[in-house]
Amino acid sequence: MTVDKLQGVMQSTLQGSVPLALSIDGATKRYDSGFTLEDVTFDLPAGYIMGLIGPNGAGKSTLIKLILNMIRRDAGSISVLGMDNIRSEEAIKEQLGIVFDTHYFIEAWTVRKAGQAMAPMYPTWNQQAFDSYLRRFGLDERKKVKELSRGMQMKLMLAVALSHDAKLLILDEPTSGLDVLGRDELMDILHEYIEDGARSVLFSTHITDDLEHAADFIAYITGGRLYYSGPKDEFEDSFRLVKGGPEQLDAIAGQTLGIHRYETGFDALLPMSAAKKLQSNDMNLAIEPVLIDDIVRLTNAKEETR
Amino acid sequence: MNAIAKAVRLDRLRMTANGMLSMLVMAALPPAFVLLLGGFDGVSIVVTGVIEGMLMTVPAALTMNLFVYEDQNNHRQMNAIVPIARQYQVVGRYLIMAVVDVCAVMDFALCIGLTYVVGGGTDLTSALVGLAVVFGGSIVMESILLPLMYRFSSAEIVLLLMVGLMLVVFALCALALLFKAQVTAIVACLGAHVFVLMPLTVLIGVAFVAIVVAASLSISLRIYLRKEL
Repeated sequence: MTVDKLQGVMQSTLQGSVPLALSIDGATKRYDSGFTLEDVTFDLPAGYIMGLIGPNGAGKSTLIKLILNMIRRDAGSISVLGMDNIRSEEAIKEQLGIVFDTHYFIEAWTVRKAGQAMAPMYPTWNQQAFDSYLRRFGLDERKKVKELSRGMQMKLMLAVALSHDAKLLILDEPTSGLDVLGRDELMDILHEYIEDGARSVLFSTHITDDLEHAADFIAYITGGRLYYSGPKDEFEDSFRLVKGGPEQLDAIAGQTLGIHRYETGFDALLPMSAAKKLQSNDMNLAIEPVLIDDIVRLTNAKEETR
Repeated sequence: MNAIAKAVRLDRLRMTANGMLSMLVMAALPPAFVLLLGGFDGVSIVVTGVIEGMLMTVPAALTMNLFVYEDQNNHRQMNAIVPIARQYQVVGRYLIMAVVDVCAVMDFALCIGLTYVVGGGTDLTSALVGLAVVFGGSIVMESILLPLMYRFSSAEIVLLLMVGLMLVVFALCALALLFKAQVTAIVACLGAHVFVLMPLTVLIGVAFVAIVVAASLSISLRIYLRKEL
């Protein structure tokens, strides 16, 4: 999807003409440990996939817990499918499909029993769809949850999440237990899932390769703060990766958003505008497009190296 | 299906996670105990007492088991996924507790019947008192346990029960000894004027159990609504 189209969608959401799957406004959570998720604000328009990225401990899972009302919010508001996530908790959860990084079933349950436990929870449960996902994922109904591999346990959660016509899928690090084939399959499923334009996905991960192909939007959280939210391609286009030798460090001083120094040189993240100036000054620096991984890696590089 | 019914159903599936067979074995043990030992002279009173104790503690153990499951392998996260508001999850758990207690009473009634057949008789009053003790006792015991289970982890509860229970028993005994004369007078007065009247005794018992359950439910709701999952 083009950046222009996604920017148009963002504009329309601001004007209220595109329905929102998720709207977070100033969400804040303070822990006694000292960690704070501070004033997070972003929207996910209906019909799109948003990648929620950030390093470990950035606050991604905290944000998901706030959305699901698992923890108390200290400030802000969260609206899911147009409803307040606390006041309309039951109505919202009937329309949510959720996958965590570890399964939530009782280990002694069989796959069949896990399905039986979840089916009555949702008025829109589709047993045929559930059975079909079990076949597609190669899940044996008679197997106990504890006998499944981590990847298969994730697929069981996914089968449940996809079998009740959920309008919003929330996936918390779903790919961490999957091999490359499993991750590809998951991405295909997510694309099929949003095809009708009415369903959306919020996908938290630190394996950013997954998002390069799948995500339309990115919300990047680091150190408990929202660093960026918007179209994924615009995110990548906003920065450039600049590589050079130690003697060229002075040329980028004061302009970097993050830098990693080696004995033989450096990798630095610069805003697009600064990188363009360097290019026009013919500084002999290597200026390359960035991957999401580079942005996460370099914006989390230690302050003193900038 | 409404939210409370969903919560009860989910807890039933948790309770029978290891299959219905284990539940049936648990239910079959007390009657089997009566059949094996109830026929011996002078043993039936002991057997009845043991069964009363068993049937009062088994429902509490089953209810505790629900919390143990929740503490294992992130199963508590399921409570955050299912479309059941937290207050209904709590109410559902109290209802499943009541259902298990009714099953325990039915089991006890079966045991009394078998004692009559095997051991040659028991009077109706003591049978009814036994039923009331099993039902009321297990409900009170679970009502004390449930708020604790909502507040603490199952590992903490085991420690709390071991140390706390001993301390409470010790404190009660110490108080009874300190105020021996007053306690004796109160017990004698209740025995002479209140407990001789069956309807009044029943009324006091029912009121006591109802107050304990209401207080327990209120505390559990307060704790669970504020709990971070």
